[in-house]
Amino acid sequence: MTENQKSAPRTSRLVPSLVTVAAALWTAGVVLAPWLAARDSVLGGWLRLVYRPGCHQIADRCLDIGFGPMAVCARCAGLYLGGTLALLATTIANRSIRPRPIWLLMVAAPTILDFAAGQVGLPAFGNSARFIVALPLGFLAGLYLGDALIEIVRVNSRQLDPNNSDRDSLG
Amino acid sequence: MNQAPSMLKPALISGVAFGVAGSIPVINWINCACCALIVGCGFLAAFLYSKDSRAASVAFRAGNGATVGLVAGLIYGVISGILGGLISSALGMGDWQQVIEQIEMSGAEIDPEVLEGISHFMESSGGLMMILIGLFFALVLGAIFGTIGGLIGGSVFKAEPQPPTLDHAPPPPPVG
Repeated sequence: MTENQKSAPRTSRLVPSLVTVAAALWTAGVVLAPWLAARDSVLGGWLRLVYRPGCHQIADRCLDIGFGPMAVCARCAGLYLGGTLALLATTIANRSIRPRPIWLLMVAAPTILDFAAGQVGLPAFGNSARFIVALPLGFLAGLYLGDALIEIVRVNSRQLDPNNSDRDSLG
Repeated sequence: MNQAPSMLKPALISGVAFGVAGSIPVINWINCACCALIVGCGFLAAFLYSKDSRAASVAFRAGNGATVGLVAGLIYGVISGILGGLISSALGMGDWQQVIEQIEMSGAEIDPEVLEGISHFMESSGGLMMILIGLFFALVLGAIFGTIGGLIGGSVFKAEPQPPTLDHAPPPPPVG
């Protein structure tokens, strides 16, 4: 599936790790918001508002794992979880994993079709199916993000290294 | 060494196109899926810049994608913030009362006196304050998600410059 898998220097692990932790916290907040709200905490409502700009938050379209509807819809939850898992995989593997672009098109197609079907009033997926379909799309986007981060760190660390004569020709 | 192409053109094309789309009601619902319009804006900018880079025989890397995505996202923010605010004002949507309803629906608790004070201020300022607040959020979201789209595009379309090829093939050996 991968087009190329490059070894990244050890120094490049810090930035992907920090981004992965941030992504994990962001994804955890999706579950944390209803959990806090179920315990009558004011923070639950505020945390839900944080996710508002990126999701419609219609309760019927959100997964519920026992504390009430999550802070984002099932599709967004799948995208967030997939992205976080991919960033985690990239960080653990400590190397760039870059799938062929055709895969992005293939995994995006079901989500795009489902979204379009919902907009024109055709029958669309249920919440669980929406979550499962969005998961690989989020995972691939996360792999590309991880690849981009590793490359940026690699290029910058190479340019900052005074002993390194191998400069990247950026034009 | 070849000259790197300008980032402004792809960022402008993508930012304006998606900014206009993002300010049109119904179409901007696409942003409900993880700000897909803004991510798409950064992604398209990265694609356009990668094409320009390839044409100029210059390397296109993830960092370039992130930068052009950020610029495109900011342009998106300006266009959709102003245009969206004007369209919402013209159609009578996006007033402060709707914002209060959304806050109440989310379960967040605000002191009623504070809310009343803010409401009074918002109503006295007319639609301008709503447009400014919308512009601020559009810029912040445009910067974040535009960069993410640019990073993804930078990884998808990254390319190293082709090594120089010999234009003139060596002459064939003399016959005879």
